[in-house]
Amino acid sequence: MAARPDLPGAFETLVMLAVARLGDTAYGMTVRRALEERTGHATSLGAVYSTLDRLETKGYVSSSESEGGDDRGGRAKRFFRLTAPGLRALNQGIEAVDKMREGVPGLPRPARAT
Amino acid sequence: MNHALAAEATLLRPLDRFIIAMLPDGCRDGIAGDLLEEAAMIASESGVDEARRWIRAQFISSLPSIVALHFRQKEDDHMKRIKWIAAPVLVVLGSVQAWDSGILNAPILIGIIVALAIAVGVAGVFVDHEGVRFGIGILVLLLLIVARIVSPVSLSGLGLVGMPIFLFLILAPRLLSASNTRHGGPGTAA
Repeated sequence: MAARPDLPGAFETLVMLAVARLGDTAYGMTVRRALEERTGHATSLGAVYSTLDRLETKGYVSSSESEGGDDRGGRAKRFFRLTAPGLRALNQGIEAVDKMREGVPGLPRPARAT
Repeated sequence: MNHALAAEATLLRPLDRFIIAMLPDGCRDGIAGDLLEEAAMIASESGVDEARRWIRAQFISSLPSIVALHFRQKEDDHMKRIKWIAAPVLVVLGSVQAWDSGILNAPILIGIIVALAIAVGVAGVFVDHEGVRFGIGILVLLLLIVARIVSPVSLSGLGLVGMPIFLFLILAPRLLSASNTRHGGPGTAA
């Protein structure tokens, strides 16, 4: 049986979901913008990078660098991808939250995947 | 001056450049590039002043996370150094204690078991997983207990061989490793 990964925290979960949604275009700026647009909360680039760094340490995301264009002053762009353990941890985290919220008065039933 | 340098010169003020220079090595280019890229978009939509205000706001709201990131990277480097220092120290400490305990006068099997305990323990110093490290610490103690059972070597002598290794495997990572690699990060978007 595979070891159960650490459950990601709330902000880690949001960042991992953003990375997963963005696919090949996930890097600091796009992740930050996706978080802001989808959650409606102001998000700093520092918080995004700090979280991505921690997720990479845990093995939940991997990163690769590509050359930066003129719009970035030639600075390298660091792309992130969700790893298989990351996807597993993300699923388990969401499942855990769904199970905990079930039956709690005032909270709607968790949406079920079809 | 090319387009990129012109955009950078327009958007980044000296204080911004200074803050960028202070960013942690591993993510300086990524953060600065992303910041500049998004600021350039804001400048084209809402003007240079708005882009500069946005950059300043990003720096201020990012500060706690960047400081945490900086310390976490330093802490990881520190832990790596500690491991490479601790390994030979534990080998020397274990060997000296084994010598003092009279293991050299004991049957060869005892010497092999004690040497194995030291080798396993020192290898455990380089294991990152806390549970595995704890298991290795227990294995070291078990090997020394076996050595005690099959030999006349004193228990306290063998305990002193294993105890520094066991304590390092259990305590040092807790004191020195990045405990914040395990928690969930900022609860709210900074």
